[in-house]
Amino acid sequence: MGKKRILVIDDEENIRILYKENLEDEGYEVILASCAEEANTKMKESYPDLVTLDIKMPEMDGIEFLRKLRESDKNIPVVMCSAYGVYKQDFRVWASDAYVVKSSDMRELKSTIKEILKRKKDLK
Amino acid sequence: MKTVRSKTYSISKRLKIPQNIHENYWLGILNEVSRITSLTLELDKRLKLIVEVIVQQTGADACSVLLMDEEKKNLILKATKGLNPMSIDKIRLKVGEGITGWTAQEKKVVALSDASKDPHFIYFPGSEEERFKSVLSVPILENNKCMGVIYTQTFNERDYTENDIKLLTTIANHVSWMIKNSMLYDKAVRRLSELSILYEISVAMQTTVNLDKILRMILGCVTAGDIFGFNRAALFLVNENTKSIQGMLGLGPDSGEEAGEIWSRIPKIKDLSQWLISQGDILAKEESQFDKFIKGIDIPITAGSGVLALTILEGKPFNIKDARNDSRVNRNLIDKLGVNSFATVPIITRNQVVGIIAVDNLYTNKPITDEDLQTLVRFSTYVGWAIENSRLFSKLRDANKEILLFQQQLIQSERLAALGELAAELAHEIKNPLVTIGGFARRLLEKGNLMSEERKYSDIIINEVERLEKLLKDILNYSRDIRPKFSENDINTLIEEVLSFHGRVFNESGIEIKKELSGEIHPIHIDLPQIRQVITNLFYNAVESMIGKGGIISVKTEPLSGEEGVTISISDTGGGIPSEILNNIFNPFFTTKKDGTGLGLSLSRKIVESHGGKIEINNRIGEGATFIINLPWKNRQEQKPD
Repeated sequence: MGKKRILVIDDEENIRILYKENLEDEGYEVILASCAEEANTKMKESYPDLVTLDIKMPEMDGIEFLRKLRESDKNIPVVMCSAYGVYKQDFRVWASDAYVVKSSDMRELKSTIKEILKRKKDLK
Repeated sequence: MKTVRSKTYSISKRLKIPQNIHENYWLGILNEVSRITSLTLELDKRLKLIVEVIVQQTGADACSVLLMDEEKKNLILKATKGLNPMSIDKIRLKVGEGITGWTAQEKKVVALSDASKDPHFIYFPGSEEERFKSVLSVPILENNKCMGVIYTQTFNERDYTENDIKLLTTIANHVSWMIKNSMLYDKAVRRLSELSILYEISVAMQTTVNLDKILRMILGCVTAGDIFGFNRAALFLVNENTKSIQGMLGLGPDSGEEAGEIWSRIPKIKDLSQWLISQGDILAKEESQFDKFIKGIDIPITAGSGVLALTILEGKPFNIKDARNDSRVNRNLIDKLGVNSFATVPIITRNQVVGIIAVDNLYTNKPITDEDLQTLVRFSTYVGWAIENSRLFSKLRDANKEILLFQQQLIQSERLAALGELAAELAHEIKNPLVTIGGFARRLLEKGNLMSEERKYSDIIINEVERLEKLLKDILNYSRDIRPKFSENDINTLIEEVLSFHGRVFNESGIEIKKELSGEIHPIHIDLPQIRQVITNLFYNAVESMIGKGGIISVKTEPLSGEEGVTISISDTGGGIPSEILNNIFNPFFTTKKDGTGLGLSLSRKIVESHGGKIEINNRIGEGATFIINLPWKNRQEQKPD
């Protein structure tokens, strides 16, 4: 079985690079998108196994993107990543699989992704 | 002497002229007299002109007018032609005394060809009356009341005819009319001047609401020569709290010389308001001995404590004419003030006596008349109004101050709210770069090929970023609307859960936990994560206070006394909170910890209060601190989860 592919969607370039390096170290293949539109293209091109999704983004925000995504794909795991913890209470993010408050300590994100992918594998 | 005789002669010759000419001559005199009576001169001057006309035209060698004094007891010489003019205002005659006194008393005409033979006859030394032989004395009547006497005298003996008597009686009627008008006019002038004084006073008083200034102006009026002209005045106010009369201000010179100097400075009515305003501005450093004495006065309002107290109790003026022999007077006070007569007037506002004006004439010894007192009573109404005004103003000003303070607090809290929002915004903007900085610092460390110095630096970056991230998290939590989302929970279970979750921390710090959880506590409505945060915070504070020395944390729950709910107490043995910081511990950003954000306790309080509860501290310096949380079973303002 090949590497799991993760799509990182975030409007901040440095965050994307940080996530990419960290997740590649974990053994994932990482593709990047800086906005919802680019993310749509990447989704169609490369069929990721999991998406990390920033909430506050210009034009279409993460919550809206999630709603659109769920219309076409109900199963792809999505991890919401935000500097804010408040969106946890927004019922619209409940359509995601996890919610991680951004931190320089990437351990929570990594363990969350690992957990979700494992769960998905177990279900199969 | 010769001229006088020839004059007498010429007049007696005139008396023999025929009737029709005689009538013309009469008309001439009366015409002249009535012309004089209607002149706009002072009464005394007109009387002088009249006596001159009479002497010139009736063949009398002298003519004089005496008027009744205010008390209707004495006749005073007001005008004369023929008697020594120096005796004007000096000759005083009791009613009934002498021929003129008898005229006044009996209201009858007296015609004597030889006055010295009359049993009533007396003459005044210095008046040169002894030179005269005959006298015709006529009462000046008004409504059958005697207002004075007019009389003529001749050197030679003369038999007065009916016509002589008629003529002088007619003139006396003119004079009576003139006196009456003059009195009315005087009254009108006095009233007018009183009105313009009151106007000037009100103009002056309206320039300020400062009670001290107003009191100075009031007493300035009372002592100003043109207004009331009292030598000294004092103002007292009632202190409702102590039920006593307190001296507020005394105005008046300390000596006769000073008095003369001060009175020469007092201006005419038209400059009065300006002068009064300047009086209000006189500084307290210029206070006189008298002022100091007055300000030291504090008398209980009881019937036995003197005239001041009586003025308050009875609400009426007192005119004390012989203080030393007046049992109502407080002797001690009078001796110190050095006066034997004085007057007091109550200051009344809204049917309540609020103070007293007291006056005396220590230096001039002028008696205080009832009329003086009446004017002062009228004036005191304005005084009451001015004092009331000033007091209302200061009440208003106090209320206004309070409102301003509230407003400032409101603005402050609005500012804090705005600041909170700004902080949240800022925190978010900082968060992303911070994640990147810290994240890459960690990457550096993870690469594992760093020199020891680079490793140390990376560690520092990572730790500092972590600190900032923690601060941001707290700020975001603090400024966020923390409206609780309620659900029914068991507090004891929550405490057990928090204790077991952090059990390792307690063990490592050498802290023993003592639990005393009541079995009588019903589940209560709380926002579980928020209350969990509060309890966790308090446990951590307790641990912090005992770092390095160990100790005991006691946690206790019991039913909330008085209403349904729970009281949670968490005590430590960490020595308590230093008193100098006790007041600050609930303030946001206040911290004594090296890496604390200072938001823990303030956030805890915010959460407890949003539950309708309260958090208190029982601090025992040297022993420890107990935080007590009272939570009601259900918050009255509970909001439905949204």
